[in-house]
Amino acid sequence: MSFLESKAFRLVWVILLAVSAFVLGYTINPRTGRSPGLQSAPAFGGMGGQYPSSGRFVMPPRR
Amino acid sequence: MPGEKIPSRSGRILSFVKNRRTIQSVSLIVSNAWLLSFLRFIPCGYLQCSNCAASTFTCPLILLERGAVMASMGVFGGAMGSAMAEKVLTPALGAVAMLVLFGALFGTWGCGWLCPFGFLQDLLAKIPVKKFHLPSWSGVLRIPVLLGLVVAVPYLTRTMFFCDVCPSGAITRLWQQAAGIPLFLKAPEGYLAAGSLVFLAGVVVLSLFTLRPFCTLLCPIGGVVGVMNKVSGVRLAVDRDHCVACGRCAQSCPQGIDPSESPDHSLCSRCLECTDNCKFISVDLR
Repeated sequence: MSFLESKAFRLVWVILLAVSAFVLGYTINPRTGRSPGLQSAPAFGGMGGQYPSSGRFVMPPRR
Repeated sequence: MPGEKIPSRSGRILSFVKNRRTIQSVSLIVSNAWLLSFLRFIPCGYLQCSNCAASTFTCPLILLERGAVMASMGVFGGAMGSAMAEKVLTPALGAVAMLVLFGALFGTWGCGWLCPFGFLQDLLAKIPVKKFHLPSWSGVLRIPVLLGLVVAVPYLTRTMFFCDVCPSGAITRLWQQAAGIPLFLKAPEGYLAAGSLVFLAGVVVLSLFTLRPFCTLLCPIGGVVGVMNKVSGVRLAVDRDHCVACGRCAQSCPQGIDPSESPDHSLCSRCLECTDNCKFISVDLR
């Protein structure tokens, strides 16, 4: 029996999938982690996943 | 009776989606359906440029790059840092989670059946030119590309380097420029965007002579989900009791791999052409 078919690997794999499902659910849940910048295309008023046109992030000045 | 193919239950379930070109066309439309862009908070499991104004989903690579850039700035402390973390780091983790889940469920099935850029390369491969196969080890660069160009270079340079040079993004730039939607060809990093057009031209030309050169050599998403072919839900099942190693499956494989020997090869895009030519290989779910 290969390692990929072992119970230990399956256990680790199931845990990894469960964590991934939780993280993904948290990310796309509007009440938790959904990024406002990713909600809609530019035509709908969001930034649509675009990055600034210069291609470089510029931090706002510290207050 | 030996020689008679008995389809598995899951094989029968999947038989209704046997027409790959139809599924690829539908995926191309759905992935770029402007009216569905309210779904853009969902990271995608395949390469889909989300700088495209019509894109439905968000490319996981842009989320990873944004996370790397912000991490390099060390902005995750304090009140503003928390907001940055919520806006940038959380989606980056979501992108990783989506790739893990997508790979675990489908492996590279999404590459072969859903990815619009893969579809373009497939169509180019239909042009009758003498083809050659890339060696089976040629996919080893894909994970280093992910770690290097998608994570490390953006972290070090604070630029969206991979997006700037991505040939799929070059298509986005071309049509949006043509449609009058200003993008970043005139930006300081415009030379990278221009380089992406050259890169795209190279992929187009190479696609005439070999199947899916970008997917095989460089696609970071294909690298991640390809590794998970060995444990993914959608897989190729080989009936080793009846397989006589005639080699027809290997001859029919567009990628030039031998499905009977390595059905979980990371370069297999699950096009399932081997299942059409052999009775002892079928698609199965586990």
